Amino acid sequence: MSLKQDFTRGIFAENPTFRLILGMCPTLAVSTSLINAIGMGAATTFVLLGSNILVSLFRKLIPSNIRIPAFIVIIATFVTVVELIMQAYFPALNKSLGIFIPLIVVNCIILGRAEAFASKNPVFPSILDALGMGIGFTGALALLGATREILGAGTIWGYHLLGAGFNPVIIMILPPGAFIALGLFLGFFNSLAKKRKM
Amino acid sequence: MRNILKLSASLFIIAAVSGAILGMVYTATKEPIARQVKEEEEKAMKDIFPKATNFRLITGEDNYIYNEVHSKDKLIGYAIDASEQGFSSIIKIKAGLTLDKTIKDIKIVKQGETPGLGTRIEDKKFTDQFFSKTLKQVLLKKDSRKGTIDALTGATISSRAVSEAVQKSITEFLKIERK
Repeated sequence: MSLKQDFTRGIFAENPTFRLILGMCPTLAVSTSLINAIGMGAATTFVLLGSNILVSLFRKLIPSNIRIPAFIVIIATFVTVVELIMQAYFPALNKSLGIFIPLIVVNCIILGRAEAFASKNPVFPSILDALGMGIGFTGALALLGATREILGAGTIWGYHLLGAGFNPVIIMILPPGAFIALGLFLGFFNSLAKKRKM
Repeated sequence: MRNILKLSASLFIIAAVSGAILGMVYTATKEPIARQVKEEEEKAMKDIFPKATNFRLITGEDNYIYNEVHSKDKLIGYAIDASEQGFSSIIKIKAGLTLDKTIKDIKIVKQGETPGLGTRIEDKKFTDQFFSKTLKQVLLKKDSRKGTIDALTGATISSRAVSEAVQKSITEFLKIERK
């Protein structure tokens, strides 16, 4: 596969949220507003980049029988180190992104890409893969977050969009709204993918 | 058999190296993190009492710690700590009291609630409800007849944790102060 494909695959054809259905827990929890979606997306992309690089570097040293526990240890260590350094030296960043870090530990996109890509490929393609997947994940979250925020709160990026007469559909920012929005988007992207193949 | 030994040895090395790295980073960042937390708390107290010139740390009975707030050597209020288990984290709060023991303002110092729902306890719209309230009024409307605090939509547990933490800490402070 070409390098260009390594990068673009994550954005549409293998979009982690809409095509691979990975990382659903943070997707459903965090897509309550556009600003949260972008924050979570940015934090995940950064961690994905770091873990893909590390896993790719060590891929020849790790025996394949124990690769999964090894990946988990490497990823958890990396995430914790990032969290500690952020708390110590970047208080502003910690204030806006800190709440997402614990959620990233349960994000299976990170482990999924380590297993499916970084453990079999050199460092440079792994970086492209991480960036593509990160952008795809951020985009998907932004789409969900914007939809839910507009319908559920009548705002976008915290600014009031619709007039005072608009009655927010509060269910959209609550957990059921997450499932409704995700289900509709999944259906839409499934039908798009089907049309493309035909 | 040899294979098992080899695999355990590799996993052992990976875990040991990770553990060592974590230990080093933890030790190196411990002090700066403590400093950041302290700065954060001081900033919260300054936000609550903009006129304050210095804060005097008082250790009362049972090691209860609070701050006397002074403005040019005159006592203008108290800053007390409150904390409570919220929905997914322990919420830490600074509450400012005026001399007549009503609330001046509260600030959320630390929390890890659900982004977009519980995290809104930091919004002014929520914390402003505590202004000039007395001990009995700082409960949720839906929990107590005397309560005056509206819970946030979709974040009742976080809202309740904040109001109960504030109520508990004022009760404790009054008990110590009276002695």
